[in-house]
Amino acid sequence: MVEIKNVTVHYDSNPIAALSDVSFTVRNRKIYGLLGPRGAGKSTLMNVIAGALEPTEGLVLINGYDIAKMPLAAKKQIGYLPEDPALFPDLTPYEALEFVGLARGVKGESLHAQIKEALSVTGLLGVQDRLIRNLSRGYCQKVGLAQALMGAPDVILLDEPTEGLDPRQVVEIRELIQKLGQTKSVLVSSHVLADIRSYCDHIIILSEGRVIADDVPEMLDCPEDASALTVTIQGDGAGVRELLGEVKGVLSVTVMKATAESAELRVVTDGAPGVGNRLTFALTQARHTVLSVETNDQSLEEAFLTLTQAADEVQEAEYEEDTD
Amino acid sequence: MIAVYKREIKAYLNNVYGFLFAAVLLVVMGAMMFIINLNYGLADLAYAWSGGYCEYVLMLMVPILCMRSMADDRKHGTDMLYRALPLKPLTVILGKYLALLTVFAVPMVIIALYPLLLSTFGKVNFAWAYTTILMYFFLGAALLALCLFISSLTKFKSVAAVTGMATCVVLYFAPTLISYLPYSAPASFICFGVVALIGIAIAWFSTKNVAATCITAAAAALVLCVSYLLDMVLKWGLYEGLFPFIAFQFSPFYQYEWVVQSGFVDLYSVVVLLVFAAFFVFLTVRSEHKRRQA
Repeated sequence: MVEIKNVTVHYDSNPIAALSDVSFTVRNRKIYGLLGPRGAGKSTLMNVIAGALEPTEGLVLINGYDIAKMPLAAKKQIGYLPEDPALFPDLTPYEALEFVGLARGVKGESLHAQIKEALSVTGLLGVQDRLIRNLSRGYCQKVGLAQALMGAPDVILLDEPTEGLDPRQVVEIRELIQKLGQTKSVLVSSHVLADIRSYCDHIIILSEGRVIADDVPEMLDCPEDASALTVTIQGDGAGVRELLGEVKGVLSVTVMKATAESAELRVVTDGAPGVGNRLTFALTQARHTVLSVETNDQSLEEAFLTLTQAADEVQEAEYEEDTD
Repeated sequence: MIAVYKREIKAYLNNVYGFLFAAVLLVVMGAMMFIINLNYGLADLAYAWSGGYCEYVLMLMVPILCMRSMADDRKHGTDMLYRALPLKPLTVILGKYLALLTVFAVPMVIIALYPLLLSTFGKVNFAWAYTTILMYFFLGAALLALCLFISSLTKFKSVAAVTGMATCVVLYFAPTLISYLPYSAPASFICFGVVALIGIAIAWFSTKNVAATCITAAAAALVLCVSYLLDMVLKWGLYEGLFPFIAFQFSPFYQYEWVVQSGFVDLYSVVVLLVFAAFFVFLTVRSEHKRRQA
């Protein structure tokens, strides 16, 4: 199990946080998808969880081991495939796996058995003696994945595992991830929604370094017989998610946007009459000022597209400012 | 550490740098023995090994050997792999450094046969000969640590090699340059001040920690000013020629030349070279620690 508590990352004392107060839990034998537009902070978060980057604030627990205080014990539980597979070009896949195995403390017969299994599972047996620098991008990705499996870790972190692969390889990798999810905790990051939703048990959406959604795909999607509301309230929306989650007829609550002045929430309800009234009543009773309540039946794809578009618009505006 | 060591040794076997280093070292040292010892009929290695040429080989080849050691990891992203594996930064750096020492030790073992070869032509002072070889190895170990650190500062091998060579040249000529400095107490005080400022600048750029940098600067200023004032008031004469003296004592090339020319195993010189190596290994570890922080 991976527990991430209030993780904040500032690069080189940059006032704009790459990650801001990120908290969630990855449970055992589940596949979690980390979704977000490019530049949302997914790779930074993956590096923090893998112990490759120390956060400015916050805590990462891997099977109960604090990665800051017990890095060696915690890292033994993790297999990590970074966005650009970290490979030694002058080694063969077999030698690369041997190195990772030795570094993880695997020795003797067990080491060779694990190498053979990792090569077989990832379909690398045919190229095990070729130099990595001569392998295609797809094979390199598979070597990176095989490296992540060495040492039989409980937690597998995969950063954009299907990036640069052809459709057949994408299917193979998806099947492998599904297989891994039966025995391990898997966290997969991607900016492709279709990729994530096809095999993940749980989805976490990251935007501009913040977690804006954390739920099972069914709850994040707006079912056909359900309706969604966009609720805007005054204040930063602290505790509102839990409050609305208890209202009868509310299926899920997602914080879409939160600033010190206002918070925008997407509330999926069962569509029964009176849910909107109960929701407004609960908010006013808890002394929250409701600024607006609008119906919004967009699906997760649409919600994600809106987020991506917003991020693109911000980037374009910044680019235009720079060029001016 | 064994995993890193084995991986590094494999890397040197799979590329040209290790072989090139060993070949150049053996050719130059062999040529020096042939020209100086065999041509002039001199049995002692020290004649050939002091005075420049053998040190020039190290100044040229050690940066070439070390350039890929850390820079390549940053270029290929394998530094991320090291960080995500259950390995301490010290373990990774020591594994790399020991691999470099091994590559250096291989031609040195062959070179260690030279005194035996010379003994067939005449009487050889074996103690002096092997002291010379040992000091050469320690000098190489010190320069390997320095160039390993320089390699950790960039992801471009060529930048690491050129910077390493330039630093070695400055170190080699430092004793000569320092001998031109005035020996007066104020001159020493100013030189120490400049060194302290450089140290504070390095502390700031490597930590970006205002409090730590200010404390270091205040402590350095306090120690320098108080000791200088006491020296002036009590007329100890401590600062008189102190900077050139210390600079000479910490110069690896000076210590090497001193032992090779005198023929005595000076433990102090050995310690200076080992401390020099340990210092730069420590700096490389700190540099790796820094890279793990956001």
